[in-house]
Amino acid sequence: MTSRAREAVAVLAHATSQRRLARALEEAARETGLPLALRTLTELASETSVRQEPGRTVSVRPDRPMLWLAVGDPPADDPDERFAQAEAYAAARSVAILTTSPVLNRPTPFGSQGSLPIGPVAALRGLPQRLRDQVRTERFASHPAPSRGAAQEVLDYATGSRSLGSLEGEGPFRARAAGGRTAWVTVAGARTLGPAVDGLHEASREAAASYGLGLAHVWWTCSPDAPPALARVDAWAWDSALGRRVDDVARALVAWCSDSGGEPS
Amino acid sequence: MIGLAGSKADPVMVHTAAHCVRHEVPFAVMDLVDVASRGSWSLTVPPGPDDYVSGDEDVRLADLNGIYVRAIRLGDDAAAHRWRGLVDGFTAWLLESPVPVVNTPRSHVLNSYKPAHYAWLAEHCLAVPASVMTSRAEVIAEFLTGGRAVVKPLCGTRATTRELDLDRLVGRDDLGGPVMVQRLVEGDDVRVHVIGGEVVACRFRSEMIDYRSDRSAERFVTRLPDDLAHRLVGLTAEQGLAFAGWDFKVDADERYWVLECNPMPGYSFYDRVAAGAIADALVRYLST
Repeated sequence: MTSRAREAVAVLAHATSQRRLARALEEAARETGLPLALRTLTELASETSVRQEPGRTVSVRPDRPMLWLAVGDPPADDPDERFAQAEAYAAARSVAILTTSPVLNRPTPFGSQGSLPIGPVAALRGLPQRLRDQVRTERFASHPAPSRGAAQEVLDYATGSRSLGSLEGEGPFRARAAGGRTAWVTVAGARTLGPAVDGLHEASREAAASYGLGLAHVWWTCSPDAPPALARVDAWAWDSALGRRVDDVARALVAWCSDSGGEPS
Repeated sequence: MIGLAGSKADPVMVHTAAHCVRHEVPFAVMDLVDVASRGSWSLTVPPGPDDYVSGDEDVRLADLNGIYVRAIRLGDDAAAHRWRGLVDGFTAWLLESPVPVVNTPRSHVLNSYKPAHYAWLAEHCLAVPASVMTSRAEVIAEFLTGGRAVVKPLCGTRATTRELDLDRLVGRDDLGGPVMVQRLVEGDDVRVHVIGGEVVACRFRSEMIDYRSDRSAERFVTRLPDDLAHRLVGLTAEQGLAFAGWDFKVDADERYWVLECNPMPGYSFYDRVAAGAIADALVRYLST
């Protein structure tokens, strides 16, 4: 008699901003025979109970392997709805933390996905020293300013647009020295996806692991005359962040579920 | 000079500034709401000598010996992108600040996720009342057979603690969303502020479930058992915090039951009970 694989759950906005990823996960799970449930944050919060008694281990029901891919919903306009959203998110995030089965991108006391800090600069500067040596100095300014010589990468918070040049526009701005071309590496379970540049996949895996992430995107700036510089680390899993890699990522995540085998992590 | 970064509309910030005035402690105010909407800033990461934040006051960050931060945003959607730009930069700057920051952004956020917070507290050998989080009425009904209970928000939003009434569950199956219920502990409340290595505790005696709603509650400064005080100093630091407000219930056997650890304590109310001892300790921490 063969034992049936244990059900896993993927937590994501499966009907909205993560619909393509949800369909790709279903397809990959079907191919491998993995029972995979799709749940939104609210659905997970509603179907799970957490019980704690003094002197006993925490009980989470159901307790199953989890892909924590949640990106949350945009805040509701109505204050009561916003409170309900916050309650559901707090419940779901607690479930992801306390589940004893393996959880990909399990939240920690310091972050919503692994220990990845919320701020984009903090995410770069919190890395181990060896990787942080490759992070550039950043400048934040409220108003436009003439260029100080070297070209800069500039984010204008008013428009969300990124450009090369000086601080021009409405602002405020975030700026750093411009590098070269950008290389984007995705770490998904045991796989890495992205351009073949010497050492980049290994370094990306190291960056993801330092934050306890099984799914992460690591962005590098590559110039011909200098080592690659870390430009960004994030763990977004919505469809627009995954782009054409969505099917490969889904297969890698389902493989992670199968390989984890339901042993407590 | 110490820096106070927050909002002038925040009573806790006003209390801290007033304490500095009374005790002739030099301080600079960075009203982040005002700076975001009308002011200017230039910040580098890692921090540089010319970094500044300018609102009603021009503050050169290199002149500060310590910074007390309460970054609370108050409305004004029109300035949302400016708020984000300021907070991104200021948060990154604080993470590498060469001077003490209360509290650094790199600290625990579990208080906003109550079941996980309770589990962390229990793992660290504190007595935590039994609790259940569920959407199912029958699970709560079963929990209530073990004794009285209170209902609380899961997400850390401040709310008046209320006792849960079993009658309200009759005839219901699904509660429509998760509910956090915790065993009620009868006894006094103790609020403990840890500031670096210093501990200031206030005790409250009230007939009401939530002493904060009882203006006539008896209140006085108290001394914690030494081992508990020592442990709280360690656990505050372990969360990456320099300043925290711990809430306890003390039962008839003088056993301390922890309710939560607040990472951004609104301490002004308790400081009046403690005759300024909390603000004194905070200023000392930021001035060293």
